[in-house]
Amino acid sequence: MPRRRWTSPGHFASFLDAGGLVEVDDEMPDPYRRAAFRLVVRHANGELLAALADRDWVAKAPGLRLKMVALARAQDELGHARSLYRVAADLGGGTDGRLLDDLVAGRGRPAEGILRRSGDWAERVVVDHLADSAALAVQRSIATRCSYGPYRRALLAMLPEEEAHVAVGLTRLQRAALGTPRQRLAIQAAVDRRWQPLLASFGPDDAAEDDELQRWRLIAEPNAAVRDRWVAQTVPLLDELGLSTPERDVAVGAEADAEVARLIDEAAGRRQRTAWVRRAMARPADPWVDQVAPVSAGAGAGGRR
Amino acid sequence: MTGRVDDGPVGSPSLRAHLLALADDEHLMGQRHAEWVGAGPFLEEDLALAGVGLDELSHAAELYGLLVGRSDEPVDRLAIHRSPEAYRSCWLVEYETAEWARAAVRHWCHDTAEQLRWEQLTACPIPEVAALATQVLSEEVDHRAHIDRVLDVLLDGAESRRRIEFALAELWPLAVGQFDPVVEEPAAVAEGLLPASITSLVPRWLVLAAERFPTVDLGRLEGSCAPGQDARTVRHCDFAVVHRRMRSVVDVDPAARW
Amino acid sequence: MTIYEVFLKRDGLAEFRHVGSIEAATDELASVLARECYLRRSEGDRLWLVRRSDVIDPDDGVLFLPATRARRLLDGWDDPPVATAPMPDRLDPDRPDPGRSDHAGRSDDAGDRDQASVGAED
Repeated sequence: MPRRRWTSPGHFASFLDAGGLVEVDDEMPDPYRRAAFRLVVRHANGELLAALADRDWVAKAPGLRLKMVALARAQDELGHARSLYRVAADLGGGTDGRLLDDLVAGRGRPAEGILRRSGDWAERVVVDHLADSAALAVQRSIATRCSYGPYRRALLAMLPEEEAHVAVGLTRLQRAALGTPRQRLAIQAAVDRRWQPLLASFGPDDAAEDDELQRWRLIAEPNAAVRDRWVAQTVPLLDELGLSTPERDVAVGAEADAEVARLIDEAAGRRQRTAWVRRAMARPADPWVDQVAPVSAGAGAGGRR
Repeated sequence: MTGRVDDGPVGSPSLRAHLLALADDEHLMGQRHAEWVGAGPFLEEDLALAGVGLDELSHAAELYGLLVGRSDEPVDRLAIHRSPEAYRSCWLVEYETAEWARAAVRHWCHDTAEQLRWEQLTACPIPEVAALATQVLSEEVDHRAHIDRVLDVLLDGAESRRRIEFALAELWPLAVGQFDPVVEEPAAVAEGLLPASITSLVPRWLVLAAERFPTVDLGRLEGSCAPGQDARTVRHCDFAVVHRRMRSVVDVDPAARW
Repeated sequence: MTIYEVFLKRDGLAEFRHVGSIEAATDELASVLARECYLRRSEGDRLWLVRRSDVIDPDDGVLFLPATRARRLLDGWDDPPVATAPMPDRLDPDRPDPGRSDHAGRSDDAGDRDQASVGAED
């Protein structure tokens, strides 16, 4: 039974405008439900891909402690993905598993800037700090105002972990930027390569989508505003380390997209090979295995992680 | 090859060799578990396996620390900068698999075997070793609880039980190979640093396996201990790939401190 | 698979708090999996798992205090028993004027439940 219902779009809008929080069992308007679902799923997908990329560096990390840090980060990101998929599953009436299937089927892919597997360890160091601080900027912004209660609570729970990642990432970036001449060169080259994808990770300047999310009070400000604030805070920090940032108009290569595709394809293959476990864990009358849910993550690239 | 940096509390070369083998097992096992992040059957399970992997890596770091002191540099020299023939890991942890059934069975085989191996060390006269063993055993309880609850479910279904039992049969020689001691082991036993050879643990481990997999005829599998492992001096064919991976960053700029 | 709601209690006087949900095949598996999902940094020292289907979710009638029963609020004991002239000197100055009939007994939708409005009993 729905907890609350709104008699007209106007009532719902004024409820949102007054700072009201929508809960999972409210009878929310369908467009709102779809918008919230897309936002949460995209964030979840971004966290999952970050975890996959971090995982691949565990064995390569140049030190046992660094291996542990990489794995702990991957585990946190996986945990974020998990709790976000649960929020989305409750919104869509589906399950975590179906949402993963959506992802491997190419629906609801996140923006290209979030992936991290390419390049060398210097690039890892750069991305570990900058991609997480970019993500943190977005998440803080959403956590202060988002009208969907379960998503906002999930965000608030994960912020301390994200903050810790950013902090440890900064220490590593500082050490590397002040390291051997070769390290310094590698770090600068990594900043040059990753800067544009990082900016892209805030999402496209898609006014229509931002407007919709803002109208539903799901986000407080457009992608561009969060991105510009992050740039203003990040450039001086890099400057202090003797690192410059490239011009903003450098094009993002197709390389990034190919990497997302590879990560997802690999996950798809592995996922297929473990279907027997999910079958074994499902109860006979359990709709869990192939549930059809009313909301779809939708196709195409989206902006938020 | 334990290196000549003796900054830890363990002086005896034979016990050092024994602990190095355990450390290498923990190190590579932790790394293998990490490969399943985002690749297992569902996310809760991946999170659990990542947690186990993190614990194993940490146990490896503590063990390497007992040999060369706890600071990062000597530990990393031991953990990462050795040539393949200097490792003392067993084939079970070197082996690479993309089959989750094998990963799950390996998880159980490794955690039960290491429980018995660590229990031996709680009686070690070197207090640092005994203290670490006690600490590790308290953490291993969770690892066992995790994989046992998973296997409870999987051994209850016909298809999943068939897959698990098939994986067990495949991995059996490697699993028994965990109890393959290093050549220095008899000296450690003679010095009173180790109560007995780890091969003496096999019967107890077989009892655990028989309880866990009651429908498997273990007698049919027994006695086939990883041929060619040769007191842990020969690497499994999958080791080369993982070793290259482990060296891929450190070899680019050996002077770099990350 | 069953969905469980997860509750954690920090130490001391803290109350159990809902922290999320988890999907698992059995109660036993849910218990060990919840550990790595919700307790890997000692976020609590007690854990409850409740099957979502077992959660009793009473309707709004149980939850919300109608404005007319504000006398039940701890600071509502001194309210006038019937709708009479307001006695401003005995009322919290921040409260809406209880004498105004448009406040009393107002039904609300949209979650705008103004528990502070003091209603008069009929």
